[in-house]
Amino acid sequence: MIAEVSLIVAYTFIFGSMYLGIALGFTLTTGVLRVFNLAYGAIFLIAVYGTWMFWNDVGFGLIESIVLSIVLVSVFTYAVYRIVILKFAELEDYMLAALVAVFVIVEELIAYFYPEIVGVYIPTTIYGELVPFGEANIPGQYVVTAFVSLALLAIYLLFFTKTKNGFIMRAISQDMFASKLVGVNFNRTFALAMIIASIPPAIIMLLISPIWALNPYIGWSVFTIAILVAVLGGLGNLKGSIMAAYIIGFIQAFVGFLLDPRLMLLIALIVVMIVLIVRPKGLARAETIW
Amino acid sequence: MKMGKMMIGLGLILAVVLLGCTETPKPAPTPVPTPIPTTPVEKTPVITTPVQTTPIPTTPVEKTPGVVTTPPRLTGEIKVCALYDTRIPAFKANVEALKLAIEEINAQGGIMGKKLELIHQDTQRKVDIAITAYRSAVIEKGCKVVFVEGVSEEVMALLEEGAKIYHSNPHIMISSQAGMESTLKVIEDYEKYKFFFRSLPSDPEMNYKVTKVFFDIAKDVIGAKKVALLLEDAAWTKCAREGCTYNTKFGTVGSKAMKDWVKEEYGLEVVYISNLAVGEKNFLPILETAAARGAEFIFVLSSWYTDTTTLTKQWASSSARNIPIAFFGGTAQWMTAWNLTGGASLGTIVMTYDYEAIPLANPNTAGVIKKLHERGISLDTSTHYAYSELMRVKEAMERAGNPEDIDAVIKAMEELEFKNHTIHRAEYMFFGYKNPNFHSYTGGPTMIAQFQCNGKPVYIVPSDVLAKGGYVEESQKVQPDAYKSPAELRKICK
Repeated sequence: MIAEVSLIVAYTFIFGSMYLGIALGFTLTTGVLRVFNLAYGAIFLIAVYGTWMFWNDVGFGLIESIVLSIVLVSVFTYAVYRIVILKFAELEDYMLAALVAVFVIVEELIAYFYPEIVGVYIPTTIYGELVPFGEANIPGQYVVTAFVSLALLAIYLLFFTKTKNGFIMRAISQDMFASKLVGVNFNRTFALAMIIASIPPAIIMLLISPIWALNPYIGWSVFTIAILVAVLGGLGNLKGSIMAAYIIGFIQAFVGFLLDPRLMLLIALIVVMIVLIVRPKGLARAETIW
Repeated sequence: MKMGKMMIGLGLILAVVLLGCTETPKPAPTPVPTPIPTTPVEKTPVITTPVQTTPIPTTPVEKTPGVVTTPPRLTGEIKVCALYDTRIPAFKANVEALKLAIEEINAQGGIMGKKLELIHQDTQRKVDIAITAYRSAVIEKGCKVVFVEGVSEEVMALLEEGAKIYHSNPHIMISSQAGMESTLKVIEDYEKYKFFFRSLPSDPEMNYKVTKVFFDIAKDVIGAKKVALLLEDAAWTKCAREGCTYNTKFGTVGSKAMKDWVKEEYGLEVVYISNLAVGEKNFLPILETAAARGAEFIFVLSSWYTDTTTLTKQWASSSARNIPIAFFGGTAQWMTAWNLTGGASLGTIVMTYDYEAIPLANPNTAGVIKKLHERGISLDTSTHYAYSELMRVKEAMERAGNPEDIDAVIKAMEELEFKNHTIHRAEYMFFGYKNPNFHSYTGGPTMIAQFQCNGKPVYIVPSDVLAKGGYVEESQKVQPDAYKSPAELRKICK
């Protein structure tokens, strides 16, 4: 029993932190821009396939390729903002459709140039050994991913609580029109929010690539985790996302180790739906980023 | 936006997406095995053996070798249609295999002078699109042979469609669809569904006879005593998960649940069983539990629906990484699995027919693998099936004497002892037994390899298993003694 408890505690932390890292950017975009960035899933793909392209096809070193792929992700995100979000700012339905279209286009392009058979792999293993925790042993790369997620969260919190741009973003998330009245530069702040929101998913995706399959359709799997966390947390609220990520992590660890691993996803979804019925706005009701 | 409503909406969408189509386009259920014995139909099931094929072996067909005598030269083309979603690597490979077969047949003068023409149509793996494509292929384009991707719901819908149009537009349909229901239709209503051939063993055969070889390896090569079974939660694995029995007018076929026959026949203790959800990404709870329960061998019964790449990567980084793990299907069958996993597949045990140096007797096998590799294609067993089945159709048409006479071609398909299959012996893919394997393959031992240093596969099937299965000369070339534990391989392959 002690072994099971160790495993549940350890994996609640591991899964929860990883899910938080995956959802961080989506929460930020939703919180600041009030936009459901349905092209978010493309970021995961661009991060890994961009790295592969620069590394394997162009011939840069791995580190340079990672940096370049993050630049590529930022450029892509900015382009999505300029071309889709600004264009359809007043037409939300069309905007959502256009964002999904962008995601699918990216997916299809990658499937065309890099079908699964190409065998894309990014060697980003930082620690490949097992890490003992009580009676459990945790894969080192998961532990690294979890701590990087927490580090990213800390950086974001510092940004929101200590920097001018962070204050502006929180002001916008609290009252868009009031902040407009006091002279906030919307375009610049939105673009900045979009770009900084695109970095965590790119980093997390690169870190989990040694432990998850890479194929052109992986974006949906990861994106759905981001939506799940964001929806349960209360769209666009970081505190809510933190709670949600660890609740889902706990459910999955508990069900996976004590009940039946086959039911991990199902039970997590049932719990999310129950929470939403009871609290339709998610765990954190406030419509602010923090 | 109205966040509350939006969130409930998104929650609903999520539920659908996560439960339904999280991990996309994984291809067909086709797990794909490979057999090979000498005895056509199993008549006497072994005592402990779950499978009780009560055959009605029938007329062991006339095995007259020289069938055709200088056929008349015909003109025109024979159209072969391929209904596949080529976004799926396995289906793209099937189309390429058909192209290769057609090129080779045409280079030899076609079928009785008629050239073959391949028409590919994308189904997007959607039933409605597949039906439209199929009708168009048969009625408008005049296809005489239609290859269909192995997606069960599609095949079942197309069978009904085909039955409606067969008499006005005779044709043959071939699919490596996994579920037994299509074969049952042919058995129960032959006149209506005789145009359908399933290039895959029946479910009990697939879940028992084809998988047995993995436990021969577990027991005799690895020396394991405790095993963990990870079984894909899909219709085609029902026989392995729960056991199954099918009663047909040609006899009864069935198998016990895998956990039972593994214990009864091999004396292996099953310490852990878990069903794998399609699209699952978190395998660590399963792997950690298998390790905690003391498993000494992990067997994964999977098709393309299970993400074996992620499973392999997580196995290699988990507490279970020193436990030998064996994969039945999925990307693990490809040589590319080595690259896909960044070498994490070191030590994994896989059923693979994607290696040019595979020890098989058919002189054509290595050539086909090489030619398809040159086209950037990795091969799973269904790729071999596509290539070989078209070659079989050619022989059947020649035997029938008229490629347009589809009734005669079907009869010839049933009677033909086709010897040029790239991975199977004739007895295992003989369509004509009037037993529950009618119009489908029969199961038997397969070629299993272990990925060793630099991703080189070493075939480790015990020689006696191969010999019993009809592999005679080839059994000399396997190296069960070359098996190494994953831990040892990690040390020596650095």
